[in-house]
Amino acid sequence: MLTTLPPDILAFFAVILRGLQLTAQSVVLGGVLFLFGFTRPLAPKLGGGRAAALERTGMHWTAKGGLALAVVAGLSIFATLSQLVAGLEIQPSDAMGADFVQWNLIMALAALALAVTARMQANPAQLPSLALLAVVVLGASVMSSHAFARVEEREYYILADALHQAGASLWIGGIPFMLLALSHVSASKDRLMVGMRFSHLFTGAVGLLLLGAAMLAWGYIATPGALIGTAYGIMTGAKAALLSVLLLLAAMNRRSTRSEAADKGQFRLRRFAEVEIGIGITVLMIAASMASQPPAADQTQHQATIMEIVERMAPIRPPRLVSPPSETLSIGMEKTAASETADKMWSEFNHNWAGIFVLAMGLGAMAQRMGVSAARHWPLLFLVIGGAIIVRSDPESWPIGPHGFFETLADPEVFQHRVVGLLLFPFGLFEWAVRTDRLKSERSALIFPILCAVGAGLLLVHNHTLTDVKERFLIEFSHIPMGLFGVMSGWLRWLEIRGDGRARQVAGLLWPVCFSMVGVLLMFYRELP
Amino acid sequence: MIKSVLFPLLVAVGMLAAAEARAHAVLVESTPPAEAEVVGNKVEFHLRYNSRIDAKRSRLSLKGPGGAKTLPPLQGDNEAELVARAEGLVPGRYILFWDVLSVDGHVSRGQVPFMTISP
Repeated sequence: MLTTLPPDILAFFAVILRGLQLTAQSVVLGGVLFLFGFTRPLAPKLGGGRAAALERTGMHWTAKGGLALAVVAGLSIFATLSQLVAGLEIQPSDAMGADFVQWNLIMALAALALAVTARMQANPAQLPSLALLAVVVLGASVMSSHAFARVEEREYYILADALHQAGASLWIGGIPFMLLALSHVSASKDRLMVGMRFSHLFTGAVGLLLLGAAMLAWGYIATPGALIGTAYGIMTGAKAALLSVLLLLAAMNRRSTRSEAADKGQFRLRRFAEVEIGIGITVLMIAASMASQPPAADQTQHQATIMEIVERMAPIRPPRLVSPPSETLSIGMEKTAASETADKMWSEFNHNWAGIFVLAMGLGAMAQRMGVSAARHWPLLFLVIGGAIIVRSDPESWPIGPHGFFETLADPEVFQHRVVGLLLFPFGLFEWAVRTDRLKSERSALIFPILCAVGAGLLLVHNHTLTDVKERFLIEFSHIPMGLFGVMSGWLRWLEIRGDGRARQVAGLLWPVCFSMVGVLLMFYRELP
Repeated sequence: MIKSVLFPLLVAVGMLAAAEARAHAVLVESTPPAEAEVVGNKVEFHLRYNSRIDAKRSRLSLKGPGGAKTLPPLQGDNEAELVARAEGLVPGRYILFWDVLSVDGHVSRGQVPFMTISP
């Protein structure tokens, strides 16, 4: 069965699993931080009963994180074994000896032991055991990263990666535990105490994260040209951009922890924390994707220059509104220079028109906000995009190409596009029902921002090919700003739904702008130089 | 209702990105280099990568006029280098296909085309 899975799909699953592993690892480390840095030292101030209740709930969540990590590490072993068996035709028993598999096995066992320990009756060895197992988990994660594969200065990279991962996990994973603590206290001074304590803990975690990041960037990126002209470099840039947003939110949260007047009931802090968790997971997913890229410093050939990027990104011609005839495409024949140009024009046409509709939706959302009642139907434009994807994504089949509509469904790419196109129909209709008050619950309204953020996050996570490296890089460069705007529009819309006061107003104004920017970038998307 | 819409969409969006995944070991240097002409019927291959490679779980195969054959790779001077040897090659165009596993768990693929000519 393993050999039937396409290697590319397996490699993609490996990236997603690595992202999920980093997320579950964050919950585990965040839980241990919560126990060591919050419930134990603050027990006298919290009161015995409340501290014990918080600790029990914290243990419960940490156990769940450990269990999730064990499952993800197990799946990761399975995905790697599948790649080795399917791609390299290695016997499963032999594949089990690979370093990555061994480290993931250690991680899975440590995570499982951690989950069991956290569920035990309280005992003196419980907390030290949890800390030790969390360190093993972190160590195994570092040993399955780029750092472990370096040929030279391996110890330096392992140290840098350990600092970076520890900082990121403690910070991102600590946020849900801060929300947990806030939900258990009601007095104003207690909420401030919780906020202040986590503010201090997170400052330390961010320090580790930044120190590790600087050390890694020094080795893995090395030159400004590599930062701008390689996939690894621009993904680092995307991470840094989202990190800046997280730090901005954290700085505003810091003010919330100083006085009750700045943020009554720490309501804003809690809403910002939700957004921080979402953006934090996106950053972890980008990190997972970067783990499958060669470090920028190793890609000395095929680096794009700033001028080449500017030339490709500059909107030097209007959107392509007229499609090339389908008979000029390289459908079922050997590719020629002319047919490859036609293929790229076809793709530009698809992207540019999608951009026009996305921009129209963004403007529609703005108009609705300004009180234009008819604009509330803007989500129906998703149906147009969905229909276009179904019809045009595969020029080889009906109604464009010679094959029947269902004949080419066995091709994974055709199948994926058709499924997404099809599912845009219920998605568009769902958001339309929300906008026209047919669905009134807050949970229904949250579907749009979640999908927006996840879809855009996948644009950031999406990998770059190692063949025709520079040209593919130039084509896909625009995915990064598109992904960033998409992630921001999703989480700003989340804040508009969940927040209040000025934060809600500002978020409500900004998210359609970010959404529209995705449309603008798509409108001027170019594959031809 | 919410889950029934959200979950399939999340899966679908994930699937859309699936076809794009690639792995990360980079061939830094090879002997013979790509498109080189090799004199004689024996070739010793040296492939140097940017990261440590699991030689035992990597695969080299050679395709050319005489058909295809698998070459057992050995570790070279360090863990980033693979070495293999092919003998009895008739003159013609060959392609060395490499599928390597780096120690951080990524499988990468590539090829080195070259020619052999009579001495």
